[in-house]
Amino acid sequence: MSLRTTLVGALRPEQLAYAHCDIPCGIYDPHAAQLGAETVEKMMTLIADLGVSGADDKAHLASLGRYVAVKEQHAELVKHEVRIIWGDYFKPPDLAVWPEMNDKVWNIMRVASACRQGVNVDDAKALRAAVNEFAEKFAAIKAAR
Amino acid sequence: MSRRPSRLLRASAGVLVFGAVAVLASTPLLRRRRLTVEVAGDSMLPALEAGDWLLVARRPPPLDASAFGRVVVTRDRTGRLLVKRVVGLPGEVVQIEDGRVRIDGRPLDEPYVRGETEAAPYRALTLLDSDSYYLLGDHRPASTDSRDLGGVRRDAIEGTVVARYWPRGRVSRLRPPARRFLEA
Repeated sequence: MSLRTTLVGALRPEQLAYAHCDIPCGIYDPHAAQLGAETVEKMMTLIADLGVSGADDKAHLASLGRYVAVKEQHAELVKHEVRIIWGDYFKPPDLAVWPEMNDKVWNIMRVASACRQGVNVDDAKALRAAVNEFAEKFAAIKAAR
Repeated sequence: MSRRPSRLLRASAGVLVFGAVAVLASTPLLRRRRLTVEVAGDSMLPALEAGDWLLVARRPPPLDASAFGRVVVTRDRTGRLLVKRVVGLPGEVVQIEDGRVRIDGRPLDEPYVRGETEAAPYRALTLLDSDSYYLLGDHRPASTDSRDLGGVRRDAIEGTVVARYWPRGRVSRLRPPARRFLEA
């Protein structure tokens, strides 16, 4: 017994070797996805409000171009952020808390793609609702662990 | 005090392994060639867990392909010891693409990895010098490694992990996995 204690003492490593991560890893947050979805909706609304103008109205075209670019980026960002939480944070036992998880995530991917392709404000609203639900379930799963 | 022989046997086996490592690690003559470290952090999961005690041979990995997959110890800029795995060899081009590591354009098959491999911004491609290695943590989303730091020079590598000697249930030699590629 005391021999063992002595041995353990003698064997204790001299130093720590870090298998580490400088960024705050292990911290998962659906907030970025929610912001992304909100941005997509905002851009869709701006596009709808832009109305029609002459084909050679450069200022009008520039605005439209910017709205579309931001909408595409943020829809993709939503997919990215959701995928990370789904793939790296959620584990099979979490299905007990949220049985429809995989279908719901699949749905987010599809709606986000629809948002990239089109300019339908309803798609953006659906995306926002789905991402908010995702965030709520994330909180529930985190609380259940 | 009803000790059954099997328990006694197991206990003494554990002490034996301990004793062997104790001799290896603490003999003054060998100290210069051996190093013991405790793992902190999760970036080498699932191979290494925080709290694992490792025996490290103070030698750099070989220059040829047999260096692949070895777990090595190096230091970051602050002097802190890091433990990571050799994934890219001297002279190779390492790319991170679609969540995978490519060596000279060929996608690696990495069964020891946890999570998806993402590139750091502006660091999707690294050309390794003739004396540098590409080191990655196995738990890719939770690791700061060559994706951020670039290639690591051979003389900056303090040693190669030989074995884990604690906890007792997980005592094992650390063998490098075979290097395999997914068919292109």
